[in-house]
Amino acid sequence: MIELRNVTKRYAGQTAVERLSFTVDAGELCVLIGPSGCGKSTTLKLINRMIEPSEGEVLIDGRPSAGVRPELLRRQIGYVIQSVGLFPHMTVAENIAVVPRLLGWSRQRVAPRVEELLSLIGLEPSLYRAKYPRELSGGEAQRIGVARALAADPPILLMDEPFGAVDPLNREVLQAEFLKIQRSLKKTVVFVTHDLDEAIRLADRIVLLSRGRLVQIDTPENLLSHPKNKFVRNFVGGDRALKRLSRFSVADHLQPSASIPLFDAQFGARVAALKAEGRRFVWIIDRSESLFGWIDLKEVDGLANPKLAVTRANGADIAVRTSASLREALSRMLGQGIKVVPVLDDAGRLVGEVSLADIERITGA
Amino acid sequence: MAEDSRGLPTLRANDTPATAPSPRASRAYLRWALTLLGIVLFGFAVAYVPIWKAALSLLFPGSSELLYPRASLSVLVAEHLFLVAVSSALAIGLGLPLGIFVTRRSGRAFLPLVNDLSSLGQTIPPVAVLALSVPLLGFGTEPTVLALFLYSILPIVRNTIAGLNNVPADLIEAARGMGMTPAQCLFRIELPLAVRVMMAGVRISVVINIGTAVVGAVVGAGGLGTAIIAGLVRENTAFVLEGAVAAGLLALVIDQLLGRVEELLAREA
Repeated sequence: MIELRNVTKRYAGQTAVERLSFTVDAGELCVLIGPSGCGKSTTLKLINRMIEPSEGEVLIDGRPSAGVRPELLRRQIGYVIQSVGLFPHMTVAENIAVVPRLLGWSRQRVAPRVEELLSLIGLEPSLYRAKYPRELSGGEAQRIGVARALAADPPILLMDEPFGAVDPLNREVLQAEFLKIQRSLKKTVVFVTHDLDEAIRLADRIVLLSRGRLVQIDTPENLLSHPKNKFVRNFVGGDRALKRLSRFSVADHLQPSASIPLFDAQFGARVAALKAEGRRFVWIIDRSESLFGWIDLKEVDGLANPKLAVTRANGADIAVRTSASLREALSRMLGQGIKVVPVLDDAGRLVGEVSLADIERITGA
Repeated sequence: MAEDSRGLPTLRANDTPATAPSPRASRAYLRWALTLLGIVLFGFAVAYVPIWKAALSLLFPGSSELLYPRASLSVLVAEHLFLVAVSSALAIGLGLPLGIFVTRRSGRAFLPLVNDLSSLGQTIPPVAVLALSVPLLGFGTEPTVLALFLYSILPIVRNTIAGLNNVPADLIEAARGMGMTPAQCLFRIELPLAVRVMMAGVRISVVINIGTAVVGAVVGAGGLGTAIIAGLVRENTAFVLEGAVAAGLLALVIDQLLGRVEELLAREA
């Protein structure tokens, strides 16, 4: 648990952070966000004493951090910076082992820990441990930066725009991977970003700062649905209803869908049965259970063979994955001019659907 | 590198693993072997006088005296090496710590002063230092070592400062943020990353020093300058060549040796 009490930081007459008080609970992922110069990075560095406060105090697990030697304090706190800062003269394994070695771990204890962490971040240890940072891609280096911060299993993790230098595609992958790791490790995380979408996606709570002062501290949902004042409303933007949708995953809101295999012997009968249920659209799947197309049941009347009413559709164009957010689902609907999108699992099998009505229900709530 | 379905780089089995024995290591052994061979050849050439006589008699067929008679070449080389070793050791011993000190937070205020003083040492000609210091230190080794020391400290200090200042600030931030003390950060991160630039300064300094140490002969400190000055006084160019060629070869051999030391330090870092 981290608590800031009336923390102020002044530099030669300028105030970087002013009377800041907030608490980050154990296991919580707290995102600091705000316009540039709002003091978010300063606040992060006040926690591990890379910067000393002018006034006020920082408590870690109830004890003032000022009472511990800064080096000893920092070895208990994982630290990830935007430029990653992997040491170029050390191998990946040596980089990860830095803090364990500072803590005096034996070789026999460090080596398996390095393997464990490389596996955790999805990099094959035998291929990566002897590499040098210059041999890594940006995404790999960033993952290893996170592994290095986690090496000595610190209860607290400080991350300063850790995915800021990665391209947008890789950033989303890294965010998803990090969320997965965080869900299993339950670290107390303070995360600085200037990217609101990233904050909304990752945060349990968001601390919005402006000119060194706290403006609003809230869950992403509340920040978007109940902005405290004009500044917050402007900061989250006019599309905040859309942004809220990125908090909801398709997996949590998918509805069972009706589908018929294209080569079903009873095709006609099943179409009739579903029509009798009052359905309008039915998905058609092929032998491998992936999407083949759909039928608008209004169009089957009078046709000799209901298969003539099947509209071909490619899953890649109209479907969303279970890992997607409702924001992506809505975007698909608008892009394709449809009100229902099919949902596919990672293997491409149809597992359900999401409708515009479902999304309206969630945003209305 | 291949790409997986998410567009992320992945490694295929046929990509070269980083643990494969590299040709780099074998090339390093080869360079060591050549350097040691150079040292042995130089030692042989210095000790085996007939070579010099033969070479110089080709250039100066009429001359009866081809080699400086009052001391053998190996003695002159030994004296020369002694002057260089003492003055360079002093310059390295003071220059490296000074360069490190003025790049620390506590020493930054002294950075301009140290820069100016080391430049000053380089701008005063060693001959002038000799002339000024002989009345205080007497003739011989001491004033020569002082002059050479002052002359050789600049590249060492400058390169130490440049090497340490070139270590990216984010690496230092990462090191401190992970809980390294200032000393751990210096020895584990900054010095290993700066060692090549620092060693380049040492090499330049020592090589220049080997050439400059010739002035020691003026105040009776011995060394290869003795043959050169005797040659100038007696208008015997063979003596001059004897001293100058030996000094040049010595500089080449020592530079190669320091280059190997540099590689060794950079690899261990």
